[in-house]
Amino acid sequence: MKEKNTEKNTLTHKGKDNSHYISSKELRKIEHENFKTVKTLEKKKRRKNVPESEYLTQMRDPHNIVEFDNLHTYFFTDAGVLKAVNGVSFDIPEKSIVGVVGESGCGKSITSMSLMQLVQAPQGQIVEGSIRFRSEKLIPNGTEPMTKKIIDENGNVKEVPVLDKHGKQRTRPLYKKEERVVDIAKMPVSEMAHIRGREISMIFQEPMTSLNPVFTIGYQLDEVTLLHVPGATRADAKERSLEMLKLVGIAMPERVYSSYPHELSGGMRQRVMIAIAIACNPKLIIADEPTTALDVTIQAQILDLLRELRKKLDSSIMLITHDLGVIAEMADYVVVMYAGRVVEKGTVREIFKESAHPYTIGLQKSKPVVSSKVDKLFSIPGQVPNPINMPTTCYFRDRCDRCIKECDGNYPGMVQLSPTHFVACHLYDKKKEENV
Amino acid sequence: MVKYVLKRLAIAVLVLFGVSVIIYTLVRFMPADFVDQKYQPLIASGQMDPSHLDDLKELYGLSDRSFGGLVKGYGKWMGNLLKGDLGISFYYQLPVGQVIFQNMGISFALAFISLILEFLIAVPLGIKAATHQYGFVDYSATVLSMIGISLPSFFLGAIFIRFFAVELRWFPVNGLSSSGLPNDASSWTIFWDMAWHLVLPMLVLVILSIGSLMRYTRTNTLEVLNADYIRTARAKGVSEHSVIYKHAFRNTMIPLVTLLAGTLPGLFGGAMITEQVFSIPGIGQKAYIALQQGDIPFVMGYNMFLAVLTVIGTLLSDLMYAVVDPRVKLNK
Repeated sequence: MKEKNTEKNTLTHKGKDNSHYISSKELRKIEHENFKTVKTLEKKKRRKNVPESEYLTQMRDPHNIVEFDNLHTYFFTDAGVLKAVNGVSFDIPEKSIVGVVGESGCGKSITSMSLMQLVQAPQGQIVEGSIRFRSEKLIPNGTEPMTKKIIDENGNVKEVPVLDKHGKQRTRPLYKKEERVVDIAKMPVSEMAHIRGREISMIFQEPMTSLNPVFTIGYQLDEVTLLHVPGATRADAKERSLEMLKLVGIAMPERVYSSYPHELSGGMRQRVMIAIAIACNPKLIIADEPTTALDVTIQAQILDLLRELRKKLDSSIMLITHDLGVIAEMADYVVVMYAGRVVEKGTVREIFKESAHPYTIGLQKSKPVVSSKVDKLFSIPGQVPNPINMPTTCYFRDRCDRCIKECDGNYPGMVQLSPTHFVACHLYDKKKEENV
Repeated sequence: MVKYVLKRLAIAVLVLFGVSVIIYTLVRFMPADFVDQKYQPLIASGQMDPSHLDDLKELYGLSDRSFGGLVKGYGKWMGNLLKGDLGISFYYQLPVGQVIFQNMGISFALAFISLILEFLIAVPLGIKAATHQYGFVDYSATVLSMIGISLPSFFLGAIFIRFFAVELRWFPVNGLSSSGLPNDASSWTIFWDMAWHLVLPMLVLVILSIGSLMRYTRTNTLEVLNADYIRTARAKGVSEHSVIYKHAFRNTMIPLVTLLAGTLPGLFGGAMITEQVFSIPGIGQKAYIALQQGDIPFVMGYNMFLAVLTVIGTLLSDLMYAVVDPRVKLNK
């Protein structure tokens, strides 16, 4: 039904020569349709007491930690429906770094935001597809008396019980973990809060504005522990926070702990952001262009840090960037996105050495290389089509230098070139037939 | 910090000097002065000889309207002020300071309670409107606040008197105390009677001021809610309620707290029009009458009082910035 609505919008636009022009009648119609769809979607998201069966599911491959399956995230704007993410499917295997590349506005960030349910609502909505995530639910399992270690006058370490203000010993709730697979695209917001920050965490592009200016670093770091570690006290949280600050390579954790964000440099703030992200040992860290806003020397340090942390924490990283150099250096798997779709995905070797899609090849050519001398840096001609009126043909057709007559047909399907290498391009359709 | 405050106070003295010069000049240039206002009817009816008018003007120090006369008059006023004397009010026949301080109480009570009510209603409403942007709460609050902003106080006051006092007889028409109150009424009864009289003016003040504060809160909250650090807070797994009332609210509060410090002159200065409409004997009404009568010492004293409050209010709001926003440091 929804699909039909959006199609209708697209059709009304196509009649005009100038697609940027919208008559007031069309505008009203768009607004009306948007209002209706957004309202039903929002209502669904905000429901209370959603039965678990609705969002519990199974992984296709148990070695994956996240599986995006035909994800569609749309923005219902006044100019029409903007298909920011339009049928994206890829997997994030355990303990791996998956790089997502593409030019600005191709839907990289929105894909990751969908995974966190952070897409700007009410305009932005996941309308179709699923994001399967292997989650660990905490189930209450009795309590345990709380103790703390102190050093007595003889220098021996002693364990003493922690007392509350009434003189009774405090207890800490115990939890057991139960693994289950959830579909984040269908999960209610209240449940999602338990996954955010604990199992999936995120490092943002802009360290300068990503920390709350009125709270100390310590407060913002402690908050994660206090929220997600059951029974954690303020002292526990502080200890954990200081440990995290040390782990991300901050020399004076005590001082940074009590300072405000504006007192730190960009690189330091990004380290703090990373410390917040890893505070609960998440299974997946989403790094959304973590180095874009930093200068080159700090970039290298931050990337080294991420790589080191991956080894220490055993988590996966979804690395979003438009810097191919970073991807080549860091990633195990690469997903190339263009205009809201995946055009090619494979291991880092396959993407860089045996790149198949003309867009991937173009991207690599437009990267400056230190050793070679060129008059002018290559750039892919043309620009991304207007995301509101996407053609039904291959989105890259008008910019592609290797067009064939099949390109005038429908959008190409995914072609498997090797067990891990996939490409969406008509040039390889023949290969598909050969394989079959 | 201390140095900063001292510096600001030194500048304040200069500002106040400038303000006093401007006010004095303006008051002296009012077309009809106190003597004209008071004795013109007597002259018109032939009860007084017009030649006495000049003597009276001489007596009040109003005769010389040349530049030299202005400077002399101002110098005299300033000299008295430096001795701590604001002069004697022409109209009230009492020391200006005494008139101000005697009538300030009721105005302050009125303004203070309305201010508290205003913040208690407008801030939560503004936040609600922002979190439910384009929803029912947002649109209705916007429409109501627009009505509140556009209505003049004398008009709303008149409507309220007509409706609640004359038609429904729920509240008294005006004044501060009922005429039917027995002489030996307990102070508790008097207090309740007064509170009952103050309901309508308070309602007018609250309704008129709620709109702008609510819109201000709404805009601020919307801006803060779109900030990157709010996204970070959500990504950390903070619940939506804490995101709004802890992470966002601390940032929304920064401009609001400073706004609060800026309301200082309004608190003590009285609500001139509203007090006039409801005949409340507060400082606003006193000032209104004095202004009509050309009572130079009182107008000067009252306006200087407001100027001092404004200067202190601005200084306070700057100091509040440093308190609520850790990024602001006052060490110049």
